[in-house]
Amino acid sequence: MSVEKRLRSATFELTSEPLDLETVAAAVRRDADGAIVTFLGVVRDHARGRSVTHLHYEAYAAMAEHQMERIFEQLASRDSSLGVRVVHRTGTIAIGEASIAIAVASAHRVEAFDACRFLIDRIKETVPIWKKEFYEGGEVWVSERS
Amino acid sequence: MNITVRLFAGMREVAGVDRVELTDLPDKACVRDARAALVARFPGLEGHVAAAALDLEYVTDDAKLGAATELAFIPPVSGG
Repeated sequence: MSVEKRLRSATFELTSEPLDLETVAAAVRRDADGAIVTFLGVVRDHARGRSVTHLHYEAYAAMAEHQMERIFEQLASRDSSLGVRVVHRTGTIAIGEASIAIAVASAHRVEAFDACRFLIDRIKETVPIWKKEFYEGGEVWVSERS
Repeated sequence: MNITVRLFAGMREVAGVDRVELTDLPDKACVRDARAALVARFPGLEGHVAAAALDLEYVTDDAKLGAATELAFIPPVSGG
């Protein structure tokens, strides 16, 4: 009988509200932790030589949640002692605002850094969320740019 | 057989709908059959690159629709 490892805590949320990194970090911290590594993805004002005015994110919510569970399982198989929270914003986002916030809490820093990097890399590969870039006089889904 | 197809991002915009009911697919239809039926309904979707997911799991075009209730086409993701 196989026993599936679970992270000590792992939550994912899609929200149309602005992200607050302190709140995300506070949600994972426990007294036994010595490190909380956080990642904030923010909207930059340029892409491929063009000025970006704002972004729009669309998600397939049910599948995003399901694929995040898969990623959490993969992380747990490496290190189940971590506490993790991921929040991704949807809808229209202005330059400088955050599109994703990740917090990983661990007893030690190395595991937390590794896990945070693992999470953002995997999310960018498999979680069904799409970004549309808006420019002066144009817009393009990033998935369809040539 | 029938299945609900979900569309997102550019495919949703081209089709003008985010949800399509495909009916009269052959018995034992696979994702490839559904993809062809979708393009027949919305010719503008020809050439759009997208993975497929059946009931929230990524699958190949050979996957049988079987008892699945929802097929989604997943353009290259760009979250984060």
